[in-house]
Amino acid sequence: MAMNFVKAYQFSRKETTIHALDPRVKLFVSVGVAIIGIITLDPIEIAFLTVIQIIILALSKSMKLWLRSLKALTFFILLIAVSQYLTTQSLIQAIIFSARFILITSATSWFFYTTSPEDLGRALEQMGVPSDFSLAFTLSMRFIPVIANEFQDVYDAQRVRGLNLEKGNLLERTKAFLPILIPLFVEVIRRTYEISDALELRGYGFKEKRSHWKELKLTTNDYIFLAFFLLTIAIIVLHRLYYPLV
Amino acid sequence: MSTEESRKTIIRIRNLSFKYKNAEKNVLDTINFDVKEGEFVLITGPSGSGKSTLARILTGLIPNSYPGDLSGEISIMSFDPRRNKIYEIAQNVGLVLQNPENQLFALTVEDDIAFGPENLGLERKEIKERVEWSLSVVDLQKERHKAPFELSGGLQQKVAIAAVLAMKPKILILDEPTSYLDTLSAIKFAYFLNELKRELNLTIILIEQKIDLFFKFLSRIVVMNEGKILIDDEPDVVMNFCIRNKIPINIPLQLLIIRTLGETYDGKKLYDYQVDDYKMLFEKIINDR
Amino acid sequence: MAKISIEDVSFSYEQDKKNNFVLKDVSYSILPGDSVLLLGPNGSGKTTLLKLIMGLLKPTKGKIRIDDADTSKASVFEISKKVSMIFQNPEKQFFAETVREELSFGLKNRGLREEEIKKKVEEVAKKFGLFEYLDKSPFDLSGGEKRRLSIASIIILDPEVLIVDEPTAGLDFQYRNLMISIIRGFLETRNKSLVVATHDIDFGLRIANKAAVINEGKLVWSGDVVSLLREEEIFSKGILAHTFTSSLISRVISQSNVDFQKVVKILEELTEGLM
Ligand SMILES: Nc1ncnc2c1ncn2[C@@H]1O[C@H](COP(=O)(O)OP(=O)(O)O)[C@@H](O)[C@H]1O
Ligand SMILES: Nc1ncnc2c1ncn2[C@@H]1O[C@H](COP(=O)(O)OP(=O)(O)O)[C@@H](O)[C@H]1O
Ligand SMILES: [Mg+2]
Ligand SMILES: [Mg+2]
Repeated sequence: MAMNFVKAYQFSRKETTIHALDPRVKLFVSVGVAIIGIITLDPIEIAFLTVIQIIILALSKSMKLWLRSLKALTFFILLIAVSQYLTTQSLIQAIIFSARFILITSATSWFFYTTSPEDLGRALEQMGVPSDFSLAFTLSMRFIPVIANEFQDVYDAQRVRGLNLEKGNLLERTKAFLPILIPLFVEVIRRTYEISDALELRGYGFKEKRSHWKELKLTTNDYIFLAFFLLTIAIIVLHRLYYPLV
Repeated sequence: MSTEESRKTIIRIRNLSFKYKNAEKNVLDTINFDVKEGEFVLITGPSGSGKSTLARILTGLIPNSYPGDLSGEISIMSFDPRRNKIYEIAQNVGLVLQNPENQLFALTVEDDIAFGPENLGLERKEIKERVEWSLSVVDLQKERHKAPFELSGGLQQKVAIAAVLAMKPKILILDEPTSYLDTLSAIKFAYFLNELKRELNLTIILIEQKIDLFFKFLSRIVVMNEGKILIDDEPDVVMNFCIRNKIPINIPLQLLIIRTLGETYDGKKLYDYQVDDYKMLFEKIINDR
Repeated sequence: MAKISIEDVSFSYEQDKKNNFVLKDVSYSILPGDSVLLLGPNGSGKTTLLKLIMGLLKPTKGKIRIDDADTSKASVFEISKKVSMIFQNPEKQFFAETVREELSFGLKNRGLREEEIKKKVEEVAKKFGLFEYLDKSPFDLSGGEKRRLSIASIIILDPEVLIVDEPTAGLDFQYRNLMISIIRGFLETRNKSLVVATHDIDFGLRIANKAAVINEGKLVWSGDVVSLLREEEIFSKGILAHTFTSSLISRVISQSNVDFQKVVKILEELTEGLM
């Protein structure tokens, strides 16, 4: 279960044009689409943008991953639809809201599928984000799968000792999590100490500004990608001009 | 080659004691310890005896990151961890920790090696040179674009070493590096470490339980117990002492066989015997019973 | 006592991509009284196989049966009544406020009565030298006490088959000997069986009577320990490496016809006699 959510946003190394794009460009486009997704309520715009996201997902050979994560998120999508329907009594509204959710998750998922945490850290750092922050980010991305494995190990160890998470009332079930959460917590703390030792031993914190041995540079593909994005925006703006009110 | 005597002492420690903050008693107690340039020193002893704590002091993690009461005279290539910062010491003394998983941060081997030099704010050209150099020293050029945590345990350990070497230390400390390696990888690792030392003229301090894998390469063995150094001398002297005093450490079986037969043995010849020679000696023991 | 049969088991961690097999067509049986040493390089699939036997993972292909019951259809809770497993670094699983509570956990989950739990906990605590610490926090114990507690909390479940993963990784001389005496203690009861995955062959030779070798997910050899030591090929092909001790034992038993158990015993006396 925990693994499902981790997988929904996990980077996978592949050789595609999208993977090779500059992480700053990808960040810009993906956040851009997500923002439009948050603002708009127009079904045509949502459909149009979603189709474009699907094209990007296909180009990055991540369709399978995306479909799997949608499956993992089915529950949330239904939840959104039902709650919208209950508050507005409108079926169309319910559909629009869940479609919007799908749009936003797809725009963010291709970004995470195709951008290594490290590239993202590098992008943040070269965009002026302080290195402590971008390192914290890179490290948490790097260690989330490790912690997820650790979770699985502790869970397995306690299952062997007869732990059952599906038994009893809500309070009992919550309490049943303690034999997993306490060891996990202890282990995470222990690891944190070791990681921070290792960082310091490699001279981290020596200079306010670290140097970068690989500088990010925009390539032709990046410009083409950006141009397509701007074109998409232009189409949406035009659409807005013709059909102003939604 | 300079003789043992004329070599420079690069670590000098006198009456060192240390107590972790909030702890009840000293984990290191009036320790005296010297290391000369080019030595290969093995530190062993039961767990909890203070080996890792000593490594933390030698790299400045204590007291910079772990507060506590630290007293005594300390000179590590003329640094003193009470006056110097970790990053200053790190360019002279490198420490490889037990679990490679927790000391590899980047998604490719080469980026991981570059991490330290980047922190030092070095020029791009200098970093590139160091990355190439480190990769070639540990022979990982083929793996440079791979993710470190997808590699086998033995290769991960090498990446961790390459990353520390990119800081250009003169002393390399390794804290139980073979504990998660299988036998074959551990044997290979012992030879690799000895080659590395010779090639780079490093001084090595190795914290280790598997004494027999490294025995023939060592200049000295230090045995610790409950925060004290029990003995610090040439390998064969130390082993004889440990056998006599029943110190619970992994004594190479070869030594035990020879000792049982009551033969005086010459430490340097220990590995000149072949397994079949030992087989004959061992059969003598069986027949004697 | 339980019999485990592993029948043509293949396993892949990737559920949809069923070609990336970590284990391939493994077949093996563990009979009552067997003490099996599972050997193989790191990454060969030892831990995966142990988890499959414990029912924590289910075979992608093939079947594992514990006394005729298919593990694919049984819950871990059901399986844990006969089989139990000690993980690598078992100290990591502590969570309770006291040693007593830590020891009681498995029995409580089984729904035993209070008095019964109390009686068993005290009995096992005595056996493992933990009686005086029953009201202490597990986190305050010394390294050796922690190790004893983590194992006691499994042994208290009285498994018929005990599975142990890399019991000596990272351990010093004394803790390694502690593991040996604990495991021998478990094997004293007739017809209990044991499966130990390890790359520490010297350790394994002191407790096992059978051996199985896996390499890259395939079971490449199985038989009794003595014949493993007579097997040249496994060691020369780089699948397993001899230590000085194992190569010495191997030569002594195959060239000089000395009984294996006797050799192991004398080697132990050598170490202990001088210790
Ligand atoms: N960060 C710490 N705070 C308090 N005590 C510690 C800390 N780290 C280690 N210790 C204690 O110091 C003693 C020596 O530990 P350590 O140096 O890790 O020994 P070794 O490496 O020989 O196993 C142990 O009793 C241990 O519990
Ligand atoms: N949770 C997991 N997900 C994916 N692959 C795994 C997982 N656990 C282990 N593996 C892979 O399975 C193979 C066998 O691993 P393992 O059973 O742990 O070997 P061993 O215990 O012999 O070292 C290795 O290649 C390892 O990378
Ligand atoms: Mg240590
Ligand atoms: Mg394993």
